[in-house]
Amino acid sequence: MSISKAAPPPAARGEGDAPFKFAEFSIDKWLRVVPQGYLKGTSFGKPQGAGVPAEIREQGMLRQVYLMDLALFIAAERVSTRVASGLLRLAPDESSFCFLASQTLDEARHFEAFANRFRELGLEEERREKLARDLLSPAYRGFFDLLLEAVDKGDFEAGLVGLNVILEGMAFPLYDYEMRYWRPFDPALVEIIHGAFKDECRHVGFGEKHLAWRLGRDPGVRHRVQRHVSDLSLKMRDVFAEFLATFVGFYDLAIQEYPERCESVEILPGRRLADTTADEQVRWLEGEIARGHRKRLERIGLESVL
Amino acid sequence: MSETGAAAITPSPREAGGGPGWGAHDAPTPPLPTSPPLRGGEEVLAHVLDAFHARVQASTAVKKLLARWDRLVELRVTGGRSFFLRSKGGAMLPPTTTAEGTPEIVIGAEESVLRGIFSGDLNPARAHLDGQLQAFGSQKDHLVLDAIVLLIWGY
Repeated sequence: MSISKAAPPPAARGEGDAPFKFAEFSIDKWLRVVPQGYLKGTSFGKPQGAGVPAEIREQGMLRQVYLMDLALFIAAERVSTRVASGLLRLAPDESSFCFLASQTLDEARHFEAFANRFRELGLEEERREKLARDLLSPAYRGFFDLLLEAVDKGDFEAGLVGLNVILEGMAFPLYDYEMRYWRPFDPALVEIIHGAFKDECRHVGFGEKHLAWRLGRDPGVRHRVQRHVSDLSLKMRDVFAEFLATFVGFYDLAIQEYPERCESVEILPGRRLADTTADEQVRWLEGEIARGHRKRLERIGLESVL
Repeated sequence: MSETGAAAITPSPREAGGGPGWGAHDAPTPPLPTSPPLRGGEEVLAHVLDAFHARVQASTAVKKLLARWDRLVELRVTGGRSFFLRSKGGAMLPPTTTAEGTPEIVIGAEESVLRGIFSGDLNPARAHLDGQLQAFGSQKDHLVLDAIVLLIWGY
């Protein structure tokens, strides 16, 4: 990102705050809710001293799936940190400026927490990076490139809708799914994911509110953002389709060694893992991803192509 | 070979030659007139598959996967010959260049790609994502095959 394209300080432009409550997205609130709230007493997002369970330490499919999950989280959080910090420099008003500062730290914290868990498995950074490179699909890479390009060009709204609404919003059902899947095996990982999920909920909320306000004031901007939304949404749908087709199948294979541990797991709302095929899980998740996405865009005043 | 339950699979000419290396751990078998000699790259792939098979035999985690997975896998080298892997009764049989029956899974790729996957240099997921593989058969069977490779060469 070139320095010349960074936005001038909000105060210098004489712009007022967005007409939603500044305090709702302030750093002051963030400090109370996050570091002094649900992260209090944790270490790298989980209870202090929470070791790696034996099933994950020993060689087996569960370990492989676990490592793949971590590698993909790490890759996504690293890009999210870069995009959020780029958006911070472009922030058009003070509330956005303060919120994006906290979001940048959230994303970097997620990166660090997942990277730390990987390290706790005794694996070096080099292996982690190779695994992430191996698993990152061309569609996912393309999506990340579009986000970074938007920030690089100084397009605040495109970057914000891409990161906060499309990437993080469409991932909502996956966070829930991952927590349900890993609960019988590693509660500490579930706590890391849950903490990250709570952060993402705030990010999506901010993105929706800011964009609804901004786009409502300027139809030209809405038209431009709509084009980006359609392109990014289709790319992200492809990313999730690839991811789900592969990972849910691997998840399914991995738990076959532990039928008794998974017997009572409710993998989808009202559906037991033991009675739900991998295909059914994928179809439900794809439906939820598209449904949630449409609702979010509707709230912002945009149309969905999904 | 019939002693190991692999009666449906016929050996390569190198096996018939009785020399060390690929397939040499099988009982002596008659030569196969329809199977041409291995070319340089294919010979390397044959060694790679041999080593892979040995690792599979030694892996408890893979044996658990194979316990419910009786399948014939064809590895089709682009512009070259095919190699076959068969899992049966919870074990993987030694690789061969001919086999009876219809493979449930067919993987088509350049020899270097197949060599990379089965020697642990290339993650099968990466090869799939980059379009380096042509895959036929059920998605679940492909996932099991990928999982076997991951268990052998994963972290």
